[in-house]
Amino acid sequence: MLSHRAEQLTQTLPPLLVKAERIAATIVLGVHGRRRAGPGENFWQYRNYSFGDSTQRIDWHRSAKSDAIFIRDNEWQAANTLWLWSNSNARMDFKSILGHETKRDAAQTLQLALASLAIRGHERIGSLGSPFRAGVGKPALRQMADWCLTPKDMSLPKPTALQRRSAAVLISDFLDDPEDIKKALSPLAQTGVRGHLIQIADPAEETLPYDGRVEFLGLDVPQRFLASKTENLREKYMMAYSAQREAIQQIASRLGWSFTLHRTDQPLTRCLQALYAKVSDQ
Amino acid sequence: MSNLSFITPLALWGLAALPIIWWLLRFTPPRPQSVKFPPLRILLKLKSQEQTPDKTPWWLLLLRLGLAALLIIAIAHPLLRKGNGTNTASGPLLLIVDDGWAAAKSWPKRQQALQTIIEDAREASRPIILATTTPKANAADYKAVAASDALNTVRALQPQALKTDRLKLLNELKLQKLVVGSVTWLTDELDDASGQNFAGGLNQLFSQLPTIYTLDAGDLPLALARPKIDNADISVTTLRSASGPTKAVINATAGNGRILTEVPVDFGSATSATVSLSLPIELRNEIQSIAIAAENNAGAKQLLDDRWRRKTVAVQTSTAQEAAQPLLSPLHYVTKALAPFADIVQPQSPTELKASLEAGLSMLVLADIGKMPKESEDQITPWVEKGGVLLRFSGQHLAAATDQLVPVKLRDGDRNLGSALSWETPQTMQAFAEKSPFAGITIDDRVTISRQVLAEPEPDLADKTWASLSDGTPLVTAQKKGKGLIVLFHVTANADWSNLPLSGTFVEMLQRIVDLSPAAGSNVGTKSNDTTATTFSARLVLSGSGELTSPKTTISPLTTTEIDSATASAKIPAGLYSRGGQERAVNLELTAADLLPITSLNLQKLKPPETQSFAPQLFSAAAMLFLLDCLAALILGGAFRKTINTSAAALVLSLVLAGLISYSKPVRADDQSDMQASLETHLAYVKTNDAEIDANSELGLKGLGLILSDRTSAALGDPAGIDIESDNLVFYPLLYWPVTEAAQAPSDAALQRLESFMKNGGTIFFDLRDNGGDFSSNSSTSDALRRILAKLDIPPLEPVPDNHALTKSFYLLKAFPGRYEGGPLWVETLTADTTTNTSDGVSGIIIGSNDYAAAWALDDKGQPLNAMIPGSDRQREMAFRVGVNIVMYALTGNYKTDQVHIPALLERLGQ
Repeated sequence: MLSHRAEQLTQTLPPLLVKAERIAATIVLGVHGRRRAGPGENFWQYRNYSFGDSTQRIDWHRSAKSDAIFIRDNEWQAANTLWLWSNSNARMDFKSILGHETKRDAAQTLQLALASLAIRGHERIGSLGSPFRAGVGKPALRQMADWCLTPKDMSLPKPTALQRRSAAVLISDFLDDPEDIKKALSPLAQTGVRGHLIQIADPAEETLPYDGRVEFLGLDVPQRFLASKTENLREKYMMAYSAQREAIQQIASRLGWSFTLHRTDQPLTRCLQALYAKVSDQ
Repeated sequence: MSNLSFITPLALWGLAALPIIWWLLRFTPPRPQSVKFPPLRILLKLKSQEQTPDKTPWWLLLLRLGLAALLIIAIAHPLLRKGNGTNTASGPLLLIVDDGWAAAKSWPKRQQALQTIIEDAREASRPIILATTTPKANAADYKAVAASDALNTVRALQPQALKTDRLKLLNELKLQKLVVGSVTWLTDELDDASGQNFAGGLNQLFSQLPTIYTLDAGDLPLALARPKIDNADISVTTLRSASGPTKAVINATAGNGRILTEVPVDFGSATSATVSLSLPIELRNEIQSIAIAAENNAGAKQLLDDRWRRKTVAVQTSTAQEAAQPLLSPLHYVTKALAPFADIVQPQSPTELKASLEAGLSMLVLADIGKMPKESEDQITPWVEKGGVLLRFSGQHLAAATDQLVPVKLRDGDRNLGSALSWETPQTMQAFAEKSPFAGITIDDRVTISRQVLAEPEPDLADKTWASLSDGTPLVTAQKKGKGLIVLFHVTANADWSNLPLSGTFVEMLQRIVDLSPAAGSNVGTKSNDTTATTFSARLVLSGSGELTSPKTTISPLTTTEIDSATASAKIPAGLYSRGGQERAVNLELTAADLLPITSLNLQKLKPPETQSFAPQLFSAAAMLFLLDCLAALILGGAFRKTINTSAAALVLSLVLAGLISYSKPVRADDQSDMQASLETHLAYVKTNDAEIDANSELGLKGLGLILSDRTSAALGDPAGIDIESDNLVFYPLLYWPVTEAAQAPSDAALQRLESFMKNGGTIFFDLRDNGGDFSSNSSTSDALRRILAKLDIPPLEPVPDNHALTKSFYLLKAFPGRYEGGPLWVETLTADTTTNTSDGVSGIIIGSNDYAAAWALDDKGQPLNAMIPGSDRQREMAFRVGVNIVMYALTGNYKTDQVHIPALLERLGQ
């Protein structure tokens, strides 16, 4: 039964993964080492043998070319952990006629693309809120994709204590009450985690492009709102919406986190590039 | 004068519902556009003004109310009618209608005309007195009724198959002492020798001239006079009025409605034209009616009865005297008497008699033939039983000896009355009993009988007697035999024994007997010669429009005399009357004088009323309003915003999709299983309804499949269980068929599929599962197999010969053991043509008896399930090899028999 369900889920997996891979492939991966000698696989430098070094580390090939005795240092490649989370609330299943894809598709694609990039940089990745531990390599990516597709209702990340110096990327539409968001994010920031908020927005959510009598139905809450003249409402709404966004931005800046906006009518690569710069900066 | 009326005024009550519609519409706002919206929380915070349902705009309300009102009025169907001025007086209107045969042709138009007149009277609130001019069986009651009642009466009024009798009506009106405002007479334009008098009489009676109307398009009827027999043809005279149509077509129709002949008639300038219908006698006898095509009136139809059907009569006698002394010939009087009613033949030999009997003779007259030759009797008896009438006359020979074909048992010898040796005087005849077919014939009192043959007294003699002498001894006796009749005159056919043949009575009696006989050619005898009914009762009556309908029960039966003199009247309607097998027609007897048109009176043409219906305009206005309303609903619903393009596209797309879906072929339920069966090669077994055997077959084929995939390149899917009656066989190369003792032959459809399966290269492997059994021997399973194969086209079989492909298709085999040992394997005999046929020389049928599936069956762990008999591992291995060979043989055909492999095989055989 379980295996059957897993099979069903992985059947839908390849396109999402491939799409994420494709977006990731457009970004040239920068040097991601520690920029110092240490345990690692890539060549970093030759240096003279000094007392105390293990003789086993002498590079005899190099040493034979000259009189000095050299030791081959590799670059220190300690993997950092990138925690990823995307909103899986029913609210995310929204695509207006102005958007190109649903918010959920955008969020998950973005999440997996980042994960894919991190894997290529030999970082550890983990899904925030999932029961799995952070892992490396393709299996971890696959596990994350599985977790993405598991139906669940998490509009905010669970307050979890993360390792120091790890990074967290939270992707959501951030339409919840700013107070709730603040409460959920604070515990994450306490351990000094560098966080990045990505707000996914449908253009229709920003501009309210409806006219006349319109009945608005909630996706995650069974409420409705009947507007007799939507056009009269538009200005007020846009103000309220930008107030919400400002509140989120404020929360981010207070925690020292970054805030990125992605509209579903824009290409994902643009957002990914901006994000890549922000994440890899540190 | 014009007025507006409604066809269904009740529908106008629907207008009362308008306020409710108004109320409903007023509080039902247009449906809002519904949108899912994630930032609903933000919107809810904005919630500002109270949401009340929007009212429908007043102009939309008005539009919809107008639409509803228009629909209701349109359903009520308003008509604007312009009167045509038929109504100028006041007081009751006496409306006289000619409803005779002549009015029938354009009766619907006449009804319309009557309705017009009555409508006009209704507008003036005048009561109506309706009177029809045909004679009625019961005296009619002339009362003034309301116009609406008169309308109903007129709608139900039908023309009568009668001549009008206007003077009779005039007399009845005189007795009624009616007070009328005006008199209107819708006439059929035929004078009937009464037009002038009738109009004058009405004038006298009501002191005003009647207004006489005729139809606008006056078409005078055509009629048929009584047809005549003209030698072998029927000559028909068609009558017309001087201004009537000049061309017509006459149809002769059989009782079943089949048109037998069509003859065109061209009057030229004459008022009558005669044509003759020339038909073979057998067809002529089928004619039930002769009618003028498309005339649809009773006068244009003449019914023919029995008397028109020509009969064929064969006469035979024992003596040959005709040529020399015709008056003494036994047949002279009979022939003379029958000649007007029938075609008479005189067969000279038994062969000729036989030929005429087979051609469907109506009646056979045998004069003084005592004992018929056996051969003739054998011919005549079945003919009589099928309905023929055998009429025999006595004489010396009959008195001496008779055969079986007489109605009563006769005493030997004859009775001599009034001879020199007798004290009795010649006898006269007694009047015919009412139930006798001769009833009604007046007996010539000069008829005396001086000699006769006598019947033995029997209990039923009285019933068989049709005529008797005054002392009660039978003169004519008859007996039903099968469907036919045997009639015996106890006297001679000539004047030897009596002077009956010289009298007119004799002619009439013979005519009656001929009537009882079937028409020529119809010897199958559809009529029952029921001679017990005494009266004629109506079978079919003619309606005014010339159709035969079933009669009303009020028509009283008629005696023979009445019917012969009857013409159509109110009491005796025209139609067909029957008594037993006899049929009489009563027709309207029309002559040229009946078709003279009214000339002396002032006839006015009645124009159809002008009416104008508003319903179409109202409906189209309602439709326009509806379209407007749709447009308004779209505008109010916000359809003409940015969404217009996508919604239109979605509409087009959904229409196209709906079209595609509705035109796409429905997926068959068994496609799935067909797909599975065809994607992989499967062995198949036939289910036997015995769970154990079926399980064995499946496990056996599975085991064999394992062995095959181990040892050969054949990769087989799971074996398939086949229901031979329903499943499709085409996917399987080999069909394993364990034969049970109870096996029954499959249905024909299944056999057909089996046959085509074998013809197209499939192989069926029958397993008798019988230790030491052999297909050629008798055992219960081989009997079952024979049952199965009984209807199949099975080629000759033989035990597998030495060099057969089965012995070397994979393994080299000498014997074919299964669970049992020793039973041979039978295959099709290889001949030159089987090796080159479509199945590549592969035998379509293999019959073994060693219970192979049991030998092949393996359990989950690959261990054999069944013990071998006698039993050794070598035997099981050989059984598997047999299986492998059979499957390879079915799959690969006969290539192993090719010469190219011979050297390699020889080498392996070490020779």
